[in-house]
Amino acid sequence: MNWWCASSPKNWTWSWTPYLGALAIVFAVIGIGVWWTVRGRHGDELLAAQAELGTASTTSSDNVQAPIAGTSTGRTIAFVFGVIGLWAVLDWPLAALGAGYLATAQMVRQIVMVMVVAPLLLFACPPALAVRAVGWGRRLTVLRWMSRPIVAVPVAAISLIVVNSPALVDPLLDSPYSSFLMDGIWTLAGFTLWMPVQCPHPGVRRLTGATAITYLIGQSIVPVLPGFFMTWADFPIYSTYELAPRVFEGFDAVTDQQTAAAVLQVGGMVLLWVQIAFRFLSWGHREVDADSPRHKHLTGTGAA
Amino acid sequence: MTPRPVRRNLGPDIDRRRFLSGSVGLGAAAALGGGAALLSACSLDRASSPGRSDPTSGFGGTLLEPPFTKPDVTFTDLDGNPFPFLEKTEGQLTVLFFGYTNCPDICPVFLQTMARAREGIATGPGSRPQILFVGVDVARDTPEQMRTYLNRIDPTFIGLTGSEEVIGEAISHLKMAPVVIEEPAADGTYSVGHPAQATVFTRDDVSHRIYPTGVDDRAGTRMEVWVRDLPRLDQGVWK
Repeated sequence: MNWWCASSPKNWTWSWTPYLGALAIVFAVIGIGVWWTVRGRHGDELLAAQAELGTASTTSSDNVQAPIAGTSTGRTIAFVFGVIGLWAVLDWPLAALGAGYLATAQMVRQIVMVMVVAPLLLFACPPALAVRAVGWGRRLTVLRWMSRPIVAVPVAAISLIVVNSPALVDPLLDSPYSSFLMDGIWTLAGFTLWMPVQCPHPGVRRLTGATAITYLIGQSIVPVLPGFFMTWADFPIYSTYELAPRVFEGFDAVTDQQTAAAVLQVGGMVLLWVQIAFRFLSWGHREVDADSPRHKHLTGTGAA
Repeated sequence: MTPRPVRRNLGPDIDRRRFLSGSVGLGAAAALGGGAALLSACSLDRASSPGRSDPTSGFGGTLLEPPFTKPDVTFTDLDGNPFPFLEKTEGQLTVLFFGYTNCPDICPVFLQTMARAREGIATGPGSRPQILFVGVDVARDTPEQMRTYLNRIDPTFIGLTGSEEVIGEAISHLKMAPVVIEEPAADGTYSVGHPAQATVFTRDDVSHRIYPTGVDDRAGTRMEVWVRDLPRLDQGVWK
């Protein structure tokens, strides 16, 4: 059993190889979910949050409570799929292929993590859990900063570009520890990218509605930035994948790189636009509901 | 009385400050993306112009001083005809590699790299080297097997066979490690140890450089190196 995946000159085999670090992370996430469910008393943090927000909202316009989206069932489903995605991204075979054999596998990992796992796990995180984890002090201040588009987008973009640059990828893939560092950086970049629209902490004001959709459309460029290296290259840019033993006959390094670029640019866009469409429809429904006579009657805003 | 400025109500979901900060962030991302694309395109374009590259920049592989002469051996081509090496390669840029068709790693990586490198050079000097692949596993590297194998990679590659003595003589002449046939496994398959260098013979009929091959990113020769070096070697520049 290995700690983390790294490049290897050995021929690829389809025999299962567990990675201790990946399993530890996945089971830690599952453990938090189970602990939170078994623990109960979820209202404690929310009551504290409401009290905090009630006080804070009179003193700062920044602390308006964000809409707490998602039902309990929705969160559970998001959590299950998020954990499945996390496991798929971090463990064999995708992680092993991505670390030493196929650039395509590596880009699939990144896209799934950035575009699927990060938003699902952020959505699955109950506000009360976020309050318990972050609290209301300095960590919340940092979180608020990281949830601003002007911070989140450049941080995520620079992280993804740097961590995918050929000068860094090849040496980082050489050892399990540096490979872990690299995977950690693009994972954090993925979460950072979603913070402005998906931050679970009720003390952080999220983008919603049209602003959120505009943000998502605009940030769609970020996950594909590493693809620029590959799209415009005449040769394989990563020596690790170029000289790795072949996994599929005829699938050479150039084809692999072209496929990886397509995965980033097409696959990433498709995943993102699915989410934009979902948000657009949800926003539209909310707007229609808000304008309906019944809603106005119930809320007392309709004409007498 | 000074009139109070009237603030436009942008609606509950469109907050001006948020919108502006979002726009600035997106602008920064777009600028970063454009910059990265430009940088990568520029740097890679320089590397991909071998015919126009700086002739004094470094070579890959190892310089041979004195250069290796060609082995005076006669292989057999895939049609069963004799292939006198000296005669058939005279005055041509030739890349000679010893491998075997059941090789799981080095051989397919090297041959695919060479095929792509030829595509990369496209035209001009170095664009039409003779790539000779000598099958050292004489029991399994039959002409049919080699033809099928090479056609999948690049039909212009020339497959050669020969007796163990002929192959051994050529390898020995080029001061390479001898071929080692490993003990068969339970399922009858076996590995073959073979030289992991490609020898490039230039138009003056000697080899000034050998290139390592391998599946380690520190050991193998990359496509970019071949695309840079073959045109220069073809023009008689080797250091």
